[in-house]
Amino acid sequence: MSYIQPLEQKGSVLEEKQFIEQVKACNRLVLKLINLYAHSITDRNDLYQEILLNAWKGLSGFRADAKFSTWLYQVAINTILTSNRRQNRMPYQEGVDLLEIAVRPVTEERDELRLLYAAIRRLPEVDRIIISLHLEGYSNQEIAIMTGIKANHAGVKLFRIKEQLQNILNESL
Amino acid sequence: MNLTEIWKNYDPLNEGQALPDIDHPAALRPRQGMSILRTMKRMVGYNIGWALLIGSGYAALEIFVQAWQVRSVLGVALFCTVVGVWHTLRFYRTIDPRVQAGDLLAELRRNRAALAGWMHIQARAAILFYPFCLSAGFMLGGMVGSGRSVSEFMGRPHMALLLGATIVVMTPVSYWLGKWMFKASFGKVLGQVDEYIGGLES
Repeated sequence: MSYIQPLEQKGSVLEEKQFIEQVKACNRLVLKLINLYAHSITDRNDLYQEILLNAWKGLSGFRADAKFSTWLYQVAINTILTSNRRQNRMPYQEGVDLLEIAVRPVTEERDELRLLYAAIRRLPEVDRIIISLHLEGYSNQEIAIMTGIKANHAGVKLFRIKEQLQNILNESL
Repeated sequence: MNLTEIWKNYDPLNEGQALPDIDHPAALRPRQGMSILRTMKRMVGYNIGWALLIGSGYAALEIFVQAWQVRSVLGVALFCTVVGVWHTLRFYRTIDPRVQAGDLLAELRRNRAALAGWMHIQARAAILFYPFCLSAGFMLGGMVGSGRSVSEFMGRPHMALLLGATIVVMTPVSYWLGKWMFKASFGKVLGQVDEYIGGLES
C-alpha cells in the first residue's frame, strides 16, 4: 500500500515529506544495490542522489497499486545502468566499501558477506542486477518484467549467473 | 553458504554506511554529468544556441556583403542552418532526461536511440551544411584577402578547382571530426549501453 498522494498533490509539502519517508524506508535496499556498483563513498552518494532525483521527477509514473520499494528499485537499476559513473581506478578488492567491512571485527558471517560482495562485483554489470533481484527475493517472472527479457530467458540467465558466482566463490575460498 | 540468507541479513546501514541525509527533494545535488540524457540534452541546447548565433552572423553577412555569389551560398547555408535548428529543436524536445520506471531493456534502448539520434543529426548536418559554409568562406576570404571582386578572384586559374578540392577534402574531414567529437563525448557511454543491451539479450 502506498502512502504517496495522488498526482494533483505533486509538489506539495505533504507529498515531499511522504516521498522522503518512503525513500528512507527503502534505504537499506537501495544501498545494497548501489554498493555493487559504486567505487567510493563519493560515488555511492552521487548515485544515491541521482536515484532519488529520478524517482522524485518520475513520481507521476508511480502507480498507487504498485509497491513503492519495487518501483524505487526499478528506478535505481535503470539509473545505475544509464548513468555516467566514475570509472574504477583500483580493483574492487582494494576499494573503500570492502575496507569498511574489513576493518571491523571479522566473523564468519562477515567474511561470507565480504566474499559474496566481492564475487558479485566480479560479474558483468547487467548480471549483478539480475542476481541482486534474485537475492532480494524477486521471482523469475518479476525479474523478467523488471529487466525486459522473457521469463524463461531470465531463468536461463540466472542459472548461468549462479554457476559463475559459485565458481568465483570456490576460487576465493 | 546460503547466499540469499547472507544477502537478506545484510544491513549496510547498521555497518555505519551512512547515506546523505536528504530531508527535502530540493536538497538533492547529484553530480553534474551523471545522467547521460541530461548531459546530452544540455549539449544539444548549446548546439542550438551556437547555430542560432552563427545563423545570425550569416544573416548579417547577407545584408552587408554585396557579392551575389557569396550571398547565394550564404543564403543556402543560412537556410540549412534554419532547417537544422528546427530539426534539432524538435529532437531536443523529444529528449526526456528523466529515468523512466519501465523495464531496464526498454530504458537502455531509449537511451541508445536518443544518442544515435543525436549522432545522426550531427553527421547529416556536416554533410549538408559544411559544403556551403566552406564555399561561402572560401569566396569571402578570397575576396577580402585579394581585394578583388568574387568574379575576378574566382576567375583566376585553378580557383574553381581549388574550391572543389577544398569541399571534397574538408566535408569528409568535418564529418569525421563531428563523429570523433561525438565519440569523445558519448562513445564510451554508447559502447557501454550497447554492452548492457547485448548482456541482457544474450
